[in-house]
Amino acid sequence: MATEGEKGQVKLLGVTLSPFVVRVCIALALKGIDYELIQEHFMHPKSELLLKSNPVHKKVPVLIHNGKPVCESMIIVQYIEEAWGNKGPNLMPKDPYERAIARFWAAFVDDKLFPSMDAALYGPGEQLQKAVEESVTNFLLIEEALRTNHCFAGKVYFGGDEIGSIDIALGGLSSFIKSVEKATESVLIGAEKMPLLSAWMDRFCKIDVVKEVMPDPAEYISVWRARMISPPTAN
Amino acid sequence: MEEVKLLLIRSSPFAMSCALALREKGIKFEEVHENSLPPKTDRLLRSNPVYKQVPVLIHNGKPVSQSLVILEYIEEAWPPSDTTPSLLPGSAYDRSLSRFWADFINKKFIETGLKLMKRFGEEHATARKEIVEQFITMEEGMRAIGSEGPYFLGDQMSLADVALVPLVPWLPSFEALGELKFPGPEQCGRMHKWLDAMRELPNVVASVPPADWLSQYTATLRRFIAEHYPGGA
Repeated sequence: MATEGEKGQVKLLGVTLSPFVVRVCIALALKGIDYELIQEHFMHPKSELLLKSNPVHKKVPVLIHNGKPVCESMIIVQYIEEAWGNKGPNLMPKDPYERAIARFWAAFVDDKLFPSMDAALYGPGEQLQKAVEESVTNFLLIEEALRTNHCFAGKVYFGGDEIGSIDIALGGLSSFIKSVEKATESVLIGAEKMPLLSAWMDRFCKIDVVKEVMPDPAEYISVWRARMISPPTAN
Repeated sequence: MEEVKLLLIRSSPFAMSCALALREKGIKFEEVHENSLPPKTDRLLRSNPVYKQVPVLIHNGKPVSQSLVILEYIEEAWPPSDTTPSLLPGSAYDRSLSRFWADFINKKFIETGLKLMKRFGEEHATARKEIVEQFITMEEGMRAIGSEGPYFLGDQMSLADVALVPLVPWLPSFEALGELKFPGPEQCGRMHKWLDAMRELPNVVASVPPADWLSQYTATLRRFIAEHYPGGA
C-alpha cells in the first residue's frame, strides 16, 4: 500500500498522450506507487518546472521523487524498479544475461522502431513508403525474437507470466502504433505475418493497469493533424 | 574456465568503453579485431544479426551487443565484491544520473562526433556547432551534480565516465575533423579535470588507441568517405 505522504513525494511531469509517459504510468501502477501527475501540454510552451527538471533534453516524462528529477523513460522505469525494489512485481528478470536481452530490446524500440514510425508520420511524403517498410522490418525482427529467443518462446508476455520492461517499452506505444497505421493507411503489426506479436498486443491492451492509462488512438490522430498543419518550432 | 571475447575495431568509441569496463572489473578477455571496412565477417553477423556492428561481448559463447547494454551486463555478470569494483554507485538516484549521462554521451555527443567524420555540407556544419554545445552541456551537468570530481559523480568511476572515455583519444580528431576548438579549462574546468585524470589511468591507456594514430586514421577515413560516399556515410 502507498505510504502516507507518498503521493506528495512522487510527481510525474508528463503529457498523458506521450507513449513514453504511458510507459512510466504503467510501471508506477504495477508497483502500486501513488503519484501526482503534472500535465504539460502538446503545442503549448514548456513549463518552467520542465525546463528546470530536464534542462538537457527539455522533454517529458520526468519523474520527480523527493524533489529530485529522473529523466528518460526507460531510465525512469529502471529507477522505479530499484527505488521501490521491495514493492510490487519485479519489472526485470534476475539473471544478468536475461536482463541484457531485456535492455537490448527496449533500446531497439527507442533507437530503431520509434524513429521509423515517427519518420512515417512526420517525414517527407516521398519517404513515407520507405519509412513504413522500415517500421514493418523492425516489427518483424521483434516477431522473430518472440519466436526464437528462449527467453520469450512460449511465454504469455516478454516478461513471462507477468509483464516486464520490454512489454512496457513496446506496449507503451500500442495506441501510437495503431494511430500510425491509421494515419499512413498501412498495417504495421499484421496477424498474418506477425501472429505472435499481434496476439501479444491484444493481450497487453486488455490488462487493467494498461487500459487505465492508454490513450485512444484517435487522440494521437488529432495531434498528428494539428502538427501537420502547424509544425512545432522546437521539440 | 570462463571465456570472454570482445569483438571490436580499433577506432570504435563504443568498443573502447567496453574494453575499459572489462579492465576496471579485472576481467581477462580476448580482443577480436573485426574488419573496419566491408565485408563484415560471418562471426560478426552471427553474433549481432540485428545491428551487424561492433562492439559485441561474447561471454561463454553468449553474445551481448549495444555498448550501454554491454556495460550494464559487465556490471551485473561480475557484480561488485571485496575484489571487484562497482561501475555504478549505490543509490538508485545516483545510478539514474550515471545512466542518464551515459545515454546522453552515447546517443548525442559521440554520435555528433562521428558525424564530423562521416557527413558533409549542412549536416557537418550542424554537427560542429552541436558538439561544442554538448561538451558545455556535460560541463554544466558535472557542475550541477556538485561533486569535485574528477569523475562525473565524484571520486569513483561510473558508467558515465566509461561511456565518455573515447573522448580521450578522439578529442584531437573531433577538433581536426570539425575545424573547431573545444572550450579550455577556464570555461570547462570539470571537463578538463576529467580528461587529465582519465589520461593517467593505465586501464584507460590500455583501452584506447594513441590519439595521434586516431587523428591520422580518421583523416584518412574521411577522405575515403568523401571519395566513395560523397553524400555522407
